Amino acid sequence: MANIIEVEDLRYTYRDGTEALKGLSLTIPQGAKVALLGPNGAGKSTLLLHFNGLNLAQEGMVNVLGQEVREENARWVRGEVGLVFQDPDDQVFSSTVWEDVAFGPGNQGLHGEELAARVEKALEAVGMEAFRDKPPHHLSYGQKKRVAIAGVLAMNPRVIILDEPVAYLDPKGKDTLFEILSNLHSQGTTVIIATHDVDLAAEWADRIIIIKGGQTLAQGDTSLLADQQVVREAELRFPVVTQIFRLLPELGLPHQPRTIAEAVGLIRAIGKGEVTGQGLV
Amino acid sequence: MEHIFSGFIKHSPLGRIDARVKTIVALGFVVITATMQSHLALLAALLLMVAVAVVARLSVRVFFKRLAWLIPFAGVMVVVFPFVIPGTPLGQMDAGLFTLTATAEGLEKAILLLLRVLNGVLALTVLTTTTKFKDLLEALNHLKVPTIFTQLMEFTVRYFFVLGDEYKRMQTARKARGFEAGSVFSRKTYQALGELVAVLFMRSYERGDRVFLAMLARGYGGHNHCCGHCRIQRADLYWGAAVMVLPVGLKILELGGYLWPISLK
Ligand SMILES: Nc1ncnc2c1ncn2[C@@H]1O[C@H](COP(=O)(O)OP(=O)(O)OP(=O)(O)O)[C@@H](O)[C@H]1O
Ligand SMILES: [Mg+2]
Repeated sequence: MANIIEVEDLRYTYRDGTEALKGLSLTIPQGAKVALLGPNGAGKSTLLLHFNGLNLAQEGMVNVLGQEVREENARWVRGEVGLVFQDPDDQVFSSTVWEDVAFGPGNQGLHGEELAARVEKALEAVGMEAFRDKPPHHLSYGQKKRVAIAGVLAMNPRVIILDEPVAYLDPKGKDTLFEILSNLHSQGTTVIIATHDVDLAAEWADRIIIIKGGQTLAQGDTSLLADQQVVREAELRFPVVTQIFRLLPELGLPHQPRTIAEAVGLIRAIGKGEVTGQGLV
Repeated sequence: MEHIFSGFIKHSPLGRIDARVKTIVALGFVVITATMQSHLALLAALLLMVAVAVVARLSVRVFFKRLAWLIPFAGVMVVVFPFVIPGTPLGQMDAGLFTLTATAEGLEKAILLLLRVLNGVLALTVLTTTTKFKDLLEALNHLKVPTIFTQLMEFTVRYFFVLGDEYKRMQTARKARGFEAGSVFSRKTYQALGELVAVLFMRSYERGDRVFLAMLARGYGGHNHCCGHCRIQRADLYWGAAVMVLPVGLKILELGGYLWPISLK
């Protein structure tokens, strides 16, 4: 699979001298479901701003769809890579929900029926159709978050990035969001989320990238989340499922499970007596 | 916070008319009526605009709300004119120490101003309650109004809310920790308010930065996209012509002097 985003030795220093990224490299394969993890201040948000050309590489290189992101093609990149901001108050500002969602596709030059269809579809996807004429500043935080997501969905990007998408969403809203993301993913969209929720990362992602102190600590599949060394260094914790099975060393499992489905499979196997102290037989 | 363009009429029959045509008609109407001299012509134009407003389903309440903004300016002048413009005395009013004399000329000027203001406000209210803000900006862009003006309008409106919301959040957070604006004379109150304003400014500035970034992220490029495909329809033009025919006609008559007898009446 080709890489849709490649970052090489990226450095970024804020105006006040904070070195947020210090030679970071990573690759994101096309069509992946990526979870970007790392402690507070690791540089996640700063990195994400590079993916759609809002921050430009001060040193090193960011490649999107095989093209180096530069001042000249930044606008093109923003059409291909949609970014949902961490704080919806930064993103949602129009006078009505409808107009806010229409902002992005409007900038892409859509009009009339076509625009309306896109907006309706996006609003429906996040379950906010009933609020279309409301001013966004009267909405609850979670509702604003949904509007912010709809605003990016409506642009039909090839890559969609969500910075901490589940904070403040109610459990149902979380499920809905991941249904939407799965749908998008099955249509070929690459999805990247920055999150602190390891359980969610373990359940949902097929690729894990962990950064710390402005550098990549590890990238790979979800087994990273059960790797003691990585987890300790990244100041993460194990997914709950892994925590449970780590307390059962007598099972002698070669790998710790990470998702609920894996755990259920294991428990069934134990019930049938297929797991002995030597692991699976 | 109340929406600046509150009173937007959702399913107004005028909502379907091309924003460019509406903008030109509204601005043209304002310019023409603002330079009209004859009371009768102005009254006729006003009646026409009232008819348009009725078709547009504009509510009387919204109109008067908009009109209220002008009271400090035009309202005061309308009230003062009859008494300060010299001419034939009409009547007197005893105001204790001095006597106010209203003049016919003054009254006439006042009525003229009032009619012009009513015409202008009504036309612009119809425009802004039947056109989405974004469409209006787009129309202005299309009509070659420099981007700097439309951008200024756009950001004023957007940041107005940003600032207001920030202020509300800070107020609430303060109240939650027991702050209450004390007496008007207390030094503490002023100190607290001063801090509030300073921090509000800083925070809005930073948030404004992030809001702008978020706009860029969604492809904002400094100008509103022009509608390539939504061409002005014939129906739009008919509507525009129908509304403009009366004021333009009146204006021509007035310029030609045919209306002098009426206006002198
Ligand atoms: N506008 C800014 N000016 C100066 N420094 C900044 C700015 N934004 C972020 N930083 C600094 O850059 C570093 C990385 O911040 P960033 O927001 O990318 O972290 P993050 O991984 O997204 O953290 P979180 O998990 O809390 O969202 C931090 O040390 C932060 O203090
Ligand atoms: Mg962040």
